[in-house]
Amino acid sequence: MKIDKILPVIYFTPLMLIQVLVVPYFELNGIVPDLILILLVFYTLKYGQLYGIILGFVLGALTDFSTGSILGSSMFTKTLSAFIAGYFYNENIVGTITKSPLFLGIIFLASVVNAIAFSLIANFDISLNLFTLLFDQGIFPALYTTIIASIILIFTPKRSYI
Amino acid sequence: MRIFGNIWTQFKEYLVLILLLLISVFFISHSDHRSVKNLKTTTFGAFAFVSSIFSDAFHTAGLKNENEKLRKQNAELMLEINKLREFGIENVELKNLLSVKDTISYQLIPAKIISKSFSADQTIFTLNKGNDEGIKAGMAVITGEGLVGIIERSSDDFSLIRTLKHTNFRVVVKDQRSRFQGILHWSGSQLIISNLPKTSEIKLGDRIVTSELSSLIGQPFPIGIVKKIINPDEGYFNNVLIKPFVEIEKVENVFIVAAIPHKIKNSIELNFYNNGN
Repeated sequence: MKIDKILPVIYFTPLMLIQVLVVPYFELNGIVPDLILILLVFYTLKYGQLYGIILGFVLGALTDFSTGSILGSSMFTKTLSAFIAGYFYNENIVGTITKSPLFLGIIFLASVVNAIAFSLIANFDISLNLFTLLFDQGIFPALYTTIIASIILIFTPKRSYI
Repeated sequence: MRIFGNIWTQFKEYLVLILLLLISVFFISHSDHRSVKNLKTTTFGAFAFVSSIFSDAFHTAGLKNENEKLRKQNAELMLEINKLREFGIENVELKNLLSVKDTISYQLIPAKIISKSFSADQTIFTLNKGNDEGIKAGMAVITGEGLVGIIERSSDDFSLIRTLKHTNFRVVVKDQRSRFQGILHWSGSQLIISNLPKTSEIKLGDRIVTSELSSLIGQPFPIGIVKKIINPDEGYFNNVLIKPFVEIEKVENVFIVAAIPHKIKNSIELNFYNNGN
């Protein structure tokens, strides 16, 4: 069980390599899906809110360190996103929730929070248009992340390996 | 003691959340400190090393050298054309005055982008060359089409580029035709020159280049063309939207301009850059 809980940290490096090497080929108008967030939501729904919050902080720190973005920005947003996703944790449906459409809804919600919070930290501007913030920097990146999560969900074998 | 135990049991998620968010905010507010910068440089260098091993699998090895030579030649020609264009305009303006001396000297260091980090606000690339190749923070990064960004920091073997599409990127630019100057920045969705006086004679399609007044990039590198002029009814200023020449997301190979026009001036400018970060 304890090994299982540090698995996402081990998965981080290969996933981050895909994020910075492969995902940029699929960018749409500068928007790319956030694979680390999908990993985070998955494990938050598996092990609960408290675990998710700590994992979000750790994965956020690793993201900040490896991409050169503002140190603390991903820590903050990933911690907050995991907190939101953690509300949907239910130990009675742990095995099934990550295989249901609700999983995509949770990813979308967490992703919107993640993207908007990141925008506010990285680009805080009092004249920032609410529409731009919500759609361009919140909903569109979240939709892309959700679409990629749905593709992963479709092709994930019924038997769980992670 | 029991009360604290009860509080912890009931609110542990909230307490941990608040603690971790406070730590994050602490890091955000201290992200410009030298120690944090050094830590980031070391860590990104380590990750970039892993990235560089895998990135080769995503780039074709064939014709690599020839391609690199052609790209370098292309970039040099772009700079040459741009310089000639500048001279042409200056010649018309100055006519019979003294001819302008060519004080610009530059050396191009070819480099490959080994990883890309995208978000609406911050597009950051990692290069496979660093301090060992003479790369320093503040140097301009270009392709054959124009400016990509500037070197933000570098380890011995790798460097980070702060691209044009980064909200902390600011550069003084000018309209090559009308000579009006302004500060270019990335809004999160557009490249904008803000607060240009309405009297400025900027037109759609005008070429925008970096200005010699820029504290970091003292040479005229092409940026893009004027795509739209936003002219509000109120106030005295326009905003100008720029379409960049370089498709930032698709760039794979770049050149770092190792240009140091004047040692004293350069050190003063770099001090400004370092202090500003």
